[in-house]
Amino acid sequence: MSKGLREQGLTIAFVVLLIAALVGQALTGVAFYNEQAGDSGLPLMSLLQYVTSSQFAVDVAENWQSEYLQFLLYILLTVWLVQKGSPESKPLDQAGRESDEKQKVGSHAQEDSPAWAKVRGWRLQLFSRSLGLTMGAIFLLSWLAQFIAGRSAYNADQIKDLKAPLGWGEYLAAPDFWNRTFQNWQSEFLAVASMVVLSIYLRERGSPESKPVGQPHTSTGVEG
Amino acid sequence: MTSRGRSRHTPAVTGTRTLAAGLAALGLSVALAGCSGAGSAQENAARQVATTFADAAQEDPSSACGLLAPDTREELEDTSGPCAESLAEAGLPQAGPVLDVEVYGLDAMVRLEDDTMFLALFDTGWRVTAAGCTPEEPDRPYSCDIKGA
Repeated sequence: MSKGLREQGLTIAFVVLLIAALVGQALTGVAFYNEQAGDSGLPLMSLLQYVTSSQFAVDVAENWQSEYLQFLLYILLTVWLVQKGSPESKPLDQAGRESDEKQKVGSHAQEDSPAWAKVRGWRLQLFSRSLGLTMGAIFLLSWLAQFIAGRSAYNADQIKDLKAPLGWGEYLAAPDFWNRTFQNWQSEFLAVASMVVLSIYLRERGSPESKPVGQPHTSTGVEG
Repeated sequence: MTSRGRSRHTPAVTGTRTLAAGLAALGLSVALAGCSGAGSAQENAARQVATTFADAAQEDPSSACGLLAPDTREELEDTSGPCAESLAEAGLPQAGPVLDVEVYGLDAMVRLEDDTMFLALFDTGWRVTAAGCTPEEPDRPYSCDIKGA
């Protein structure tokens, strides 16, 4: 493997996994849809029709929004909340936005710091929050996509059942939208809580997500 | 779960581009899927089939039978006999002008002044899955004179 590829290995691996999982979701999703439609004597979808359908879009978007919400909350809550013993937490006495010196901004910036970290004003403010803002924007867009595609998919089912479609306001109050939302959120929150707590007592040698194997359970904010 | 708040490594450009492409694909998909709204070609096509069926059901039942979804026609023939005769005897209402058309992917509902029809998009075009439908209680299925099994 070339140096260039090796240095991007983590990104490449997850992008490949993402594509493989999306392909798997599309293939099994169209098969599942056609199984149900065929049983009811309704038209079947081609793979292309399925991947551009509201049924596929809502299933993708509901998972995406919850992942980005998880990251958003994690990024923001770990600024102020700490967890004794967890490598996911900052040291107990460093809660908050931290000093300019520690954050290496303004006059404390290094020569190779990002350009907007060296200046004061709106650019520094924006850059200082760019990760959370971006994650938050993607979360909201994904959630909006879930809402739009979810209504369309729900209304297609309503029509198949000889029921009237729902308007935007009706769908916003419908159990379908919120059930899709909450069932994804709960799993994300469980996963974060598990990682925070389990990483206090368990180790994965060599992983930056774990404390060093010999590090005491009480050490906080130490990564391997 | 991969909850990383740290920006220990600069995100790879390839990752950013892939993310942007993914979001664009999702946005396009939603636009195609969720916004099959007013004035679309499929709305016009569904409207056309519904009005043609409504007229033919009164004047030329045998051609109206050609616009029924396969399962709906089969159910009609199983329960009432040959399609054209059964359709004539079904006493579908004079439909009147179209009030509203809603299309969601392969499914559509057409509200006419005196009838509501449900349609599905087959390879051969829009076909009527249920006709002569009137609403019952809220969020309950419509009561239909003709429908599939």
